[in-house]
Amino acid sequence: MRRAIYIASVEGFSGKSILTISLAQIAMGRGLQISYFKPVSTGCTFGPGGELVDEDTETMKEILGSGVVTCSIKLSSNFLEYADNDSKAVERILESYKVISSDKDIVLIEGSSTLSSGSLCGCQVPRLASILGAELLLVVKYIDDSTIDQILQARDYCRYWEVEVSGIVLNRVAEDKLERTKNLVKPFLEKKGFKILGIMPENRVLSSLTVREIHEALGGELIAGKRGLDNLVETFLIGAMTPESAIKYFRRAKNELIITGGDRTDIVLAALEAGASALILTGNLYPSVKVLPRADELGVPLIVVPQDTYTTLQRVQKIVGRLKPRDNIRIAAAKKLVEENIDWKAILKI
Amino acid sequence: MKLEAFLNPKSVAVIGASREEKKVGHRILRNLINSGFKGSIYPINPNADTILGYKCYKSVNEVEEDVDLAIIAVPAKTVLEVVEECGRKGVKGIVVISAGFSEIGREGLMLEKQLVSKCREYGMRLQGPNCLGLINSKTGLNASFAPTSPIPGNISIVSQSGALGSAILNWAGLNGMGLANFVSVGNEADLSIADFLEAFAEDENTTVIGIYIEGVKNGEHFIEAASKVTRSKPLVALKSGTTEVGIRAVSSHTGSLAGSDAAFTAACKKTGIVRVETIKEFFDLLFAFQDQPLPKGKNVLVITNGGGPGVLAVDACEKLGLNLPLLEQNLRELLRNQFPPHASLGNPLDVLGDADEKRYKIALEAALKSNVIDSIIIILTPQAMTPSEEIAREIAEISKTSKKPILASFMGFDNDSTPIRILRKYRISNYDFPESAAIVLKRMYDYYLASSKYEEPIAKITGVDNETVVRIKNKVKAEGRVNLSQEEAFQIASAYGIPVPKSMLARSAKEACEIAESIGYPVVIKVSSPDILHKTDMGCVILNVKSCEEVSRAYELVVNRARMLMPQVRVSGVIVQKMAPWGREVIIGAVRDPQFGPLIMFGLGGIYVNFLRDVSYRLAPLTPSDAMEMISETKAYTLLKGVRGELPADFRSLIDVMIRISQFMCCFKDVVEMEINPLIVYEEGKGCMAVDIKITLNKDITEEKE
Repeated sequence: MRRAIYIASVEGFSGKSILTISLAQIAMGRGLQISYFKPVSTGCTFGPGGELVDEDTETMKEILGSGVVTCSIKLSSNFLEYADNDSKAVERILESYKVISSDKDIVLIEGSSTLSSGSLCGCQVPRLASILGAELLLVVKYIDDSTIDQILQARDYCRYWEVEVSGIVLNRVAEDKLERTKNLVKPFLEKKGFKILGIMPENRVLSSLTVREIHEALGGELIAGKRGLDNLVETFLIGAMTPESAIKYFRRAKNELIITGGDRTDIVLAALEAGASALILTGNLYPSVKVLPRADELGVPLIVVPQDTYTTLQRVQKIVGRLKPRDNIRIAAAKKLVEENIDWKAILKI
Repeated sequence: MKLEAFLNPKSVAVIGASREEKKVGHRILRNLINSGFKGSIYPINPNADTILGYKCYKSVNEVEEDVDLAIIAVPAKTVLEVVEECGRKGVKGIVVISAGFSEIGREGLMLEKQLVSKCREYGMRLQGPNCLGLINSKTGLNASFAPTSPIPGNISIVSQSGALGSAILNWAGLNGMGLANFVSVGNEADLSIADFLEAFAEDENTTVIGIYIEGVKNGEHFIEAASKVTRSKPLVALKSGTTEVGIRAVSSHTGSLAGSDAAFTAACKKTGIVRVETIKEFFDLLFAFQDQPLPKGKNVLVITNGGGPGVLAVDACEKLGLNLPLLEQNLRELLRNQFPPHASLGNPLDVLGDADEKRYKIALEAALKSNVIDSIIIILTPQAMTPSEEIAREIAEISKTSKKPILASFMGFDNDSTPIRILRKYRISNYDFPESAAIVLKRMYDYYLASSKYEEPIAKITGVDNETVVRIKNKVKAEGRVNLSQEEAFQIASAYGIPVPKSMLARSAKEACEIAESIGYPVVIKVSSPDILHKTDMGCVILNVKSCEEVSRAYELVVNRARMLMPQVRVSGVIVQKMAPWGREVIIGAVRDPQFGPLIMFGLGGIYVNFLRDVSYRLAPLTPSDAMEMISETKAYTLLKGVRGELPADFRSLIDVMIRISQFMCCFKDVVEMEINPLIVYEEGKGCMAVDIKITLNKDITEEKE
């Protein structure tokens, strides 16, 4: 094995998976032998047979093939009872790492949400990076200048474990802050001794959900507009006003999902007119059948759910987007984003 | 003649004619026979030899002669088949009575689309499906399943509701209203209300048209057709779905967006359609237009034999904006000599409780002779000595030659009583109460004005910079946005010749100061964000900022407020804008109505506009007089004319901005909304300035060629 790159973050949803998948694809495209290793997952969900499932690992298995992908320790969010003691956990990790890394040019190691995830069994990110001999790369979601504090604190934490952060990727930078990040934040961090490997702007395709994801998460009956399941959703609006005012609000929004009472045929029509991405119709109520062909024609999904409007809004707000193996549009968008904004040659040393 | 096959067919086939009395196919055939249709009738039914004494054919192809019109009343699933046969036979017009099409959802819509393409394939026009049928009295054609046949006359009615249509037919029959044509348009898969309006505009038998409408399918066609009609005959429209609840009901009933009431009202104003609020008014107006000449002015004389009703009548007229002048001096003297001394010769003209037919005659003749009076309302209350019959007869006699409208209100009479029957016979509209007569006169006068209005050409403003507009729009689309930033909106306004204050985007407090120094104090500091449309509500606009120090403070304040109140929004900095001097503030808005296109709004400006609703609407394109009318319809007009010694505002420049917005909206179909609020209007000759502008594009991301 030539190199191990540990991709970690200080909080969840910073863009580790996007970077990891894209780096894997770029490396494979250049004929390199790679594998993917996730030492600890602390946010596992339960599969159909009650088994613990790490979604990132499952996705990577589909993309890279199951033989080169492993997650060593899988834990749900209440894991104290199941955690091994320190030495045993590290032992297990080393064992699987040995298998997955043999004969590989590059091993991409993905961290759990924060640097300290796994501390309770001695598996905090910097410690593992040190044990596995991997370079530590931080993906940070840049919000405002408090992010700089986070980065400095992360370095202090790593130094406690005698590990240096080898590079920083500033991700999801809002369009209006891009200039400032390049001209002010980057030079500042460089002066502090960090290597900035790239600044990635917030990407609409990656940060929004698709109607399909929402439908899968919410359940409910898709009564029309199946063709539009891959429509993007950036914002949620509640349709409760007269259609005349509603149409104004809907027109001013972009890629909007509209939640309204199922019997509000007038709102459905206003949403179709304004070019909404989809509608969720609440209360198990159905609109007039006369709107269904129009929704089909325009490709605007209508999904009927049993809950009330407020509960539905709360539920959709909790849905988070994850890269899915067959989500080719987003995988391609991620790769393009990384290729254009990240010094991947420096990371992969090619 | 347009739609000859429908309005003047020589031969009609009834496909699905039935022997069973309860079936629609039977009713239609029976109506056709009973109404005395002058052409040939061919019942089509594969299982019968004769129906109602007529030879029955197995299929339309078996008929040897030509068939102009086919009425189809077979189950929906077999409609396509028989339409195909009609096509091969060379039938010209198809009326599909059958239901089970787009009104029932997906499969129905598919069927309806196939039906339309089948008709197009053979060049046939289609009425319906899902309709009551059609009636025209000239050819004696009653191809409907309505329970009664109307009496022949000159009123034509088109209805989007079959049920209401059948009630209208009954009512017309009961009240002696004569019809020229009746059409129920059903789903309007091919022929719409507009098509029939065009046909009736040319129909010699039609003098008045009434339509019942729930939603307009193709606004442009509707406006074109309605304008054509109103040049020569009155068009009365009853529209439902005007309230929030009504709009909801129409949406679920028709499955199409009811459209805003403001837009339909504006369409009526543009075309001269007489819009009525109730079914009663609908009939009142149809009768009045049919029976009476148009008032050529708004001066009404009320003649009454009772003080109270007379006052109620003049109150109603005055409130509606009609005038109530006195008769000329010489006419009043003439009356003075013939009337008791205590008769009141003002307006109302009180002929006193003991008035007989002679006194009514004298008063009425004076009114007709007068050069100031344009129309007359005659009120009669039954008093002890009132010879109602004789008075009715006298009015009837005089009205025969009258060129001014005479409307009667015989109050407290049975509809079947002799005086009322006399009035009806001589075609004098009688109203239970005088207020109804006043409403009718007002609407008739409105129509007179609309029909005699000079058609002002639409002046196209030249020298606008369309390239800049396209370039900015393309940039916004490329960035995946729909709302323009303030800078972009200002650039577009400038390109369209709308005056805007000097302004620039600053990305830091330091930059904001530099800009403020260069454009000069005082300035306005506004947050710049494509996501915040109501900046004032968010406390993100600071007025009258007078120094560099104040600019820096304002910068931090608005930027932080925006980020705190709405953490998700994009903030690109602030706009530093030259503070415009005081003037009168108005709002000009434009929204693209789904049916009728750009709808322009005018009203008093500032933050209260959404609450006061003191606004007026017109459909684009606007002429200068449309714009002036819009201004004068609002209370803002009084302020703009100047109160308490103020000089009048610069109307010319205000109208110019309105016309530029109208042209902008017509030119760029991807702009769905534009609003200038406020536009500050200065004194006459000093122009105006748009200090805040919002523009929203539709979500179609296709970029235009620059």
